[in-house]
Amino acid sequence: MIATSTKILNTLLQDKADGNLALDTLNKNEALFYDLIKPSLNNLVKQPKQETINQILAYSKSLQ
Amino acid sequence: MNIQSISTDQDLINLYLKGKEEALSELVTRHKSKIYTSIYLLVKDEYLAEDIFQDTFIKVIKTLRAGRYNEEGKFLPWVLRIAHNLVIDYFRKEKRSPTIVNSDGFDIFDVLGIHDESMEEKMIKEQTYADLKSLIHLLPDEQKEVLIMRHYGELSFKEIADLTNVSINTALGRMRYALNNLRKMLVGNKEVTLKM
Repeated sequence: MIATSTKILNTLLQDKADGNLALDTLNKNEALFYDLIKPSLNNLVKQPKQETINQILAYSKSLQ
Repeated sequence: MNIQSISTDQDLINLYLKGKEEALSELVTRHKSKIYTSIYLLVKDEYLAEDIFQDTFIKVIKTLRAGRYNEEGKFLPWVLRIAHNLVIDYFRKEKRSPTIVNSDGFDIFDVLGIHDESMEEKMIKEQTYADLKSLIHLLPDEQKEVLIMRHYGELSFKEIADLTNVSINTALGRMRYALNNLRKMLVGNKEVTLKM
């Protein structure tokens, strides 16, 4: 049996509802956390296949 | 002329419109990772991301050739706006929202179900951060969009606000909530358990 808590997701939904609050800038903790996860975020960068790029360029040439 | 040495996107666009196909190739090369990553993290499917990436540039080409491009100096935000709209169109047609489990079959609870508390710090740094992709997918769509456009698209909050039709403060607020929610998920991982 798989048992999970929904506490985190409920929190997200609540935050989503509050997402229109006017806020000026990232505070110190938020900025520090962002800096901390930036390397991990950068590791998620992906590239399209060369084949896809070739198709785009071929489409452009076909219009000449 | 060395196309790669041309510094501005606008110069490349001008060259492309004069018939230099290499200029388009350089524009695609220059921005492909930001655009593709932004699309992929929104749709969570490599094949779909490839299709939308291709459709995005076909729209770009058509618009440029039709002489309807008037976003001088803002090529990347413009392309990301096209990509963003195509993603929205896709989900609208599918009549569904992005799912939590991604196309790799990776389950978020595999990440969050950490049992060995003595290894907690190491796990957070080495595993949970490495699997940040799955945590991003748990964010509400509005927050995820802002995080992706800000980090991968390197758009300003003004550009994000324009793209998503909200105020700058709302875009900023969504970024803050995205960061705070990611932190909650990372710190609060002990609250989610996986019992087999």
